[in-house]
Amino acid sequence: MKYRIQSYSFLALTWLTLFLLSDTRIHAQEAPQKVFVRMEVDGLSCPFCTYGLEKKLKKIDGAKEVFIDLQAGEATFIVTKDKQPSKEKLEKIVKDAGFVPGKISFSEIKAKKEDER
Amino acid sequence: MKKRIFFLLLLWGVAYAAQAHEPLYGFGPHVLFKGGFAPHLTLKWNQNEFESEYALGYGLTRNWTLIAELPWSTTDGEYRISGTGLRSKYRFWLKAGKGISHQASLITRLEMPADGRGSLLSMAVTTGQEALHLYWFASAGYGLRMGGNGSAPGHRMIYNFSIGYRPYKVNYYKPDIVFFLESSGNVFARSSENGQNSEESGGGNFALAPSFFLTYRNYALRGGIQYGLWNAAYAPKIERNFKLTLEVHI
Repeated sequence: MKYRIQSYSFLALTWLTLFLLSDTRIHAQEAPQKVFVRMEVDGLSCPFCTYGLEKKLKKIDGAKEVFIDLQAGEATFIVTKDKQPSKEKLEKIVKDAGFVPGKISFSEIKAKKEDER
Repeated sequence: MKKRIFFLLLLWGVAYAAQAHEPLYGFGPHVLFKGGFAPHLTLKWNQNEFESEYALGYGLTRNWTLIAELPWSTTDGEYRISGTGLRSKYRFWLKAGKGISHQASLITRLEMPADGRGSLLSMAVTTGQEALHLYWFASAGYGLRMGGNGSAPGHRMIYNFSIGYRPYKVNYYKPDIVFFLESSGNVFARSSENGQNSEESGGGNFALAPSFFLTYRNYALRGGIQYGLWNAAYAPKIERNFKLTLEVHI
């Protein structure tokens, strides 16, 4: 009897471990890697003119959390890695909005940070 | 897209507007972002007259904006369309740094009055600075009046200089205000009638106008009062008048 209970417990634990492992794997595949994009934009001084830049940034496929800081002279947003726009595309967007592009940087957001969000 | 066209048609039908992102009584170098629309409504009035203007701007390229204007005014006690106008603004110079930009543009404007006066073709060069706290604009232009009804009214030189100050820290997500002091004036050449210069024509005038530029994101309200300070020869003194402009960028 004791041996049977031990066997069932072992099977149950094995099943649970396998389930949790597979679940984590699925989640890891589902959550795409995200990228934080930071762009220095020269000429940002007037909120009324800035709307054109915000409008164009929001049109980028997958762009989320678009934020423009006039004091810092920069625009930031988050995008998934598979939809990350090129520097050339971002420079064109800034120019079409009537501004001058500066330094553009991309930094990957760690999954842990993503969960915290 | 259909929604946008409907919205623009609706605005065209019910509103009469003009440009907010310029001195209220002059020109400025600002151009619209590429693909952007800017309907604006301008109201101007004094003791005797009421004028309104509806204009629609479109950002053809990042440096070139086209603006169609439809002015209305009270003439002989009737309120009607006083003409049509088409303005092209091309920015040929832009220098920008963190929180500051300097620009210069060339403006060409064709105004076709509906009352038989000659068309007015104007060209102006305008430059200016926009920064987190300090603004200034300077413009000079020449208006070529093409004779109507057999007469040739005098050509016109226009100039303006404005300074503006933003007293608060700017934040894109909050309402913003800039206060301006605008100066503007005209110099009129003599008119001619059947090839003869009219002695009782020509001159100059000058006016000052305090104004404000209140914005929230893509909405702008601009208003001011213009005081005529000086006139010479046969140029009329600019009457005290009030002006309001409402503009939206879409």
